Amino acid sequence: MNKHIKWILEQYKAQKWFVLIMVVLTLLSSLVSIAFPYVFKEMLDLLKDILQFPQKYPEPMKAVYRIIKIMFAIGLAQLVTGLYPGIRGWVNMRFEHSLRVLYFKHILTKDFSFFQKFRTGDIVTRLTDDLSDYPRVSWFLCSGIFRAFNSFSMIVFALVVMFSINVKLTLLSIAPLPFMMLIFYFTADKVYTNYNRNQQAISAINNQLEMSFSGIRIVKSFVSEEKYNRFFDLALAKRFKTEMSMVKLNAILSLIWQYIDYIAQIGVILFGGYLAVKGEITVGTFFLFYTYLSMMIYPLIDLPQLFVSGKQAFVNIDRLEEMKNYPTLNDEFKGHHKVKEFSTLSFENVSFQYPDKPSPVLKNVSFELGSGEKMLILGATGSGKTTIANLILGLLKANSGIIKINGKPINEIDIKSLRNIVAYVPQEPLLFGGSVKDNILFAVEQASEKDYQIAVKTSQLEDEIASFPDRDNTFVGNRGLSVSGGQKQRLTIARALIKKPQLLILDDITASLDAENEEKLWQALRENYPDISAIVISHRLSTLHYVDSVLFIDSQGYAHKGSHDYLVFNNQEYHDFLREHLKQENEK
Amino acid sequence: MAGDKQTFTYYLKLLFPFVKKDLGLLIFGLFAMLVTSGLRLLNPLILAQIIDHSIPDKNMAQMFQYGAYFVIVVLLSGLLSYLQILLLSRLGIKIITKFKGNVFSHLLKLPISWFNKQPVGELIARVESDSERVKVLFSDLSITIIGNVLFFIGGFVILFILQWQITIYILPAIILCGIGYWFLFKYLNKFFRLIRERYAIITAKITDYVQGIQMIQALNQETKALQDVEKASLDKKKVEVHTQIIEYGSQSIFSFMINVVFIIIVILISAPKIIAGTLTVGILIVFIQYIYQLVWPLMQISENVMQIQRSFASLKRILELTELPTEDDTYTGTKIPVFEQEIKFENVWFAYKEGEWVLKDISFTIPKGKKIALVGPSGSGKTTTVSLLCGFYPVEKGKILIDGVPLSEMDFREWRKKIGLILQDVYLFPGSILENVRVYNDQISEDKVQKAISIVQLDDFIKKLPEGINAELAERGQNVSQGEKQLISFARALAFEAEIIIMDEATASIDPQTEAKIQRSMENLLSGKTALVVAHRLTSVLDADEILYFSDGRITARGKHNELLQTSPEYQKLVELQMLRVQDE
Repeated sequence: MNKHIKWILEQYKAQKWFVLIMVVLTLLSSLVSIAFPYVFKEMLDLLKDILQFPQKYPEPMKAVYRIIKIMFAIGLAQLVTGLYPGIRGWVNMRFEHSLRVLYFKHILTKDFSFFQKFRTGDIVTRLTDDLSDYPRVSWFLCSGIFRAFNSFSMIVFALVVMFSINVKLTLLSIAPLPFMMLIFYFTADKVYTNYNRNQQAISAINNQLEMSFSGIRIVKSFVSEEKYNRFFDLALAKRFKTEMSMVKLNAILSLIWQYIDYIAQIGVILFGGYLAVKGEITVGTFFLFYTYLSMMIYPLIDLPQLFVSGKQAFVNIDRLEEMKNYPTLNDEFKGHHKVKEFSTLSFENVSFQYPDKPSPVLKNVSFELGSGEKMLILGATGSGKTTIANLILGLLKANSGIIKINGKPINEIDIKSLRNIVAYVPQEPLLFGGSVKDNILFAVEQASEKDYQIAVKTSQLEDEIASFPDRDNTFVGNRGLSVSGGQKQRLTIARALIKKPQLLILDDITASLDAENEEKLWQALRENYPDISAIVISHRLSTLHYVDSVLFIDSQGYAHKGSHDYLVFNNQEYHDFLREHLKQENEK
Repeated sequence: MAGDKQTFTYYLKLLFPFVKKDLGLLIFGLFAMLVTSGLRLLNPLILAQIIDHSIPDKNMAQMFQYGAYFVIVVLLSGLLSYLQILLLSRLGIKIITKFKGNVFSHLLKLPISWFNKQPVGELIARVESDSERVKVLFSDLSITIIGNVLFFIGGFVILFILQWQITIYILPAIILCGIGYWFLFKYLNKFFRLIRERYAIITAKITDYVQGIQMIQALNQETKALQDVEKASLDKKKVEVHTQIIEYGSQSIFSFMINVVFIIIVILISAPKIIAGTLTVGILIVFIQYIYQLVWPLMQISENVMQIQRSFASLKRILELTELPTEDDTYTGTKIPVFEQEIKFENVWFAYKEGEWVLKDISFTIPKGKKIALVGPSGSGKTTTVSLLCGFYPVEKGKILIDGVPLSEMDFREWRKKIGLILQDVYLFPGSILENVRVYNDQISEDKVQKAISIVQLDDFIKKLPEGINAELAERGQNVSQGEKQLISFARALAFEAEIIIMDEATASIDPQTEAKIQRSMENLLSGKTALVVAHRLTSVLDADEILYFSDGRITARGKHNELLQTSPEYQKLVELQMLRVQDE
């Protein structure tokens, strides 16, 4: 409980003026609600009095008018405080927005292991569904808490008035309260676990949905639409069960509250009626107590709602904090040394093993890359080539060994400055929603028209873009679906080049860049980015034409560096590796 | 206003078939509501009796008798309201589950061209949260609204009977309020729709960025992504706040009218009568009680109608999805495909967008059992040719013939069953390797899957995993290397025992060692099968029976490898770049 309250107080601090206004308005609203029935009591007693002692009132309507004027004044006050729920809603929105931005900011710093644990659909749910609407977190922070505060203050004010009139009757009326709290406490925990289960089911469904739509071609070409439906039906059925159990619990809860309050009302009628018959209290007072009790039903039910919705909101808070607190590599890369130029890269006995794999993918890898050098990494599938790229960018951390940039160990380097001079083109091109130009310029704050054109030209995109309907304002859908794989790949190359990087890492672009275009690319690179250093991961042996050296990763995870010729003669496995490839060509 | 009423009944008609199945739940729930509303009306009347008779008459016994009536009424209404919540909520959840299932299965049938235009995130927002809104329509809203309407009618009738003179003043006032509310809702409706749309944009943007976060980090553009999301969130907030202030501001005014003004009017009229003795205090209290109890439901009704408006806005969005034409609407062919001789592309022209031809007069034949390779620069139409053969897009100009019968006349699903598609972008779903290979089709036995996995020589990889074939793949296969992913997608085609294998640049990014594995098993598999391979690597295409060279949407050269080497300079160049001149081999 403690950590949740701390969290809430933190959020309040950030919006403290609004919170203050809310407090004032809440108290005012409660006051006004309580005042009106009291004035009505006065009216009733006055009328009874007029009937009983007409001689006291020569002009009875004058007294009536006086009270009516007071009623009207309170009514006007109510008009103002009527805006209160609207302002509550406003502050809800403020919270929702600031929380969403806050947690998204945290997500942006997470590393590879985080995204293995949390699926996209789940993350998106936590940043959208968990935050918006009733009865989620942002609602709870304002409306949830302040409605409870409103109810609480209303009850307090009512009690003050009631006690000042008749202590015995008041005590009897509030007797059910402790019972209510006790019963609630026991059922609340059940509601909590049910809610969590429900949220997980929602996330699971969102995941399923997203996955299906992304792979729709496969589902269709294997005529599996019907079968796939089955899975969704299963998930929905699970959700149905969880929701029904929630409904049942909530219904029981509300039943309990209802009865307990009705019992209180009955208490007033019987005991109050008894006192009224005996003449100890007036009719007006009798009715006032009855009214106050009726008025208290809703706030009284609302109050424990605070705990129920609080528990639900706490689940949401936990889910958000879970994401935030998940350790990220980026915390470990806290170096301060800023890198402006690239002169050398060295791996010294670097080993790396993925946590869910049985053996290390890189073992004692050592090599050096100099400025202007272009190196090709070759190796079997799954042999750690992409891992090397990720290690250089600081997206992964080596288990042992040291990686040095310009002679300095990577953990002393300001990783952002390193990422500024290194450009990475991934194997699977990923574009974001937006136009072609937006995507290319994504990597920089701004670029000169000249730099833009050079990047486009070098990536062999000039003709392509000219052929697009809107040229470079053409919108590319999610994951750039409306362009071919090759075009997507070249867009990501342009995106990398516009940074004018000093080290370019091409992670197997052979899948979407044919041999002819690759030749043109290298020519253009030589022309427009002459001193660039490069690390190329490729399966296409023709790439050997364009590089200075080769890093071969064997099936054990060891690395061997040298010129192509050197390796062919001195490394048996490399020799065999190439031979396999050539063998197929020679056999034809 | 007539327009709204029409839409209302339209929506009800739409929902009715879903409700029909559980009519019992609905009827009993409604009955419970009727009784509960009636009981609610009794309480103030009992109270009035106590105030007018028992107290002034000092009749203790009578007072306790009335008290007993009160208790009975309370017990009954509590029990019934519990039942009605349970029944109607169940109905709501049941309906919405069916609804979602229907919507989803409809979406799966939509043509590929539709999917190219939609951001995945927005789709999810639509189906999930909009369905939730519609659910509220059944469970909470209908209970409250119908119950309140019943109470309203009953209360009015009783008031009229008691003191029609006062009731006459109040009735027009309340009707005026009702009309005022109505116009307010119409005005607010547009905003509710806008809010849901902006919410969907937020979801889409966050999905987009979360999917590509490593890339964003590598590019150092975390701030850009953050600002974009912030702006989207702000856009939604602005509209929501505006809507809320109008909503509650107007509610406050109406509340003032009824809570204060009406009551004051009632007192002004009744006070002289009470003083004159023609009206009792008890009846005044009944009036006040009823007005009090009528006010709250009236407030709720307005709030509820607003919620209904929101639900309908969501319902409309979902309905728009189910009204989209499916593949069944586009592909009306019914013939069972027979493939014994050949597949023929006859003067096929194709454009994704009007006038921009991606394929220009493509003609070629794939005889049964032969292997055809498509080569050429990227963007030249090879992938499009493949998509057309899969029946993903309709061919408008030219024909694709299977044994002389146009593809458009065939049952497209039966045709697709003959095909095993291997894409360049490997799609892996969350689930086990087993399910990924058979795409959840449980008619394909585990043995078949095992066999397919052996053929692609993934056995070693599977054995290393503790759960073996049932090992879960992380989203988008992040714990599997690119090459291994390819092999799995390969195993898919094998497990489905397709007659025709279509590969789109599948083997391009696998290293020679792994590819060698596949080459060997492919030879076994392809014997007797027909294949269409789009390749960038000539090694995978050298034993093709015919090679088609695509350039800018046309086939500019065709023939066997050796022929082309001699006759096509473009082809020559392509081969040169792929082959390595090594001195000593």
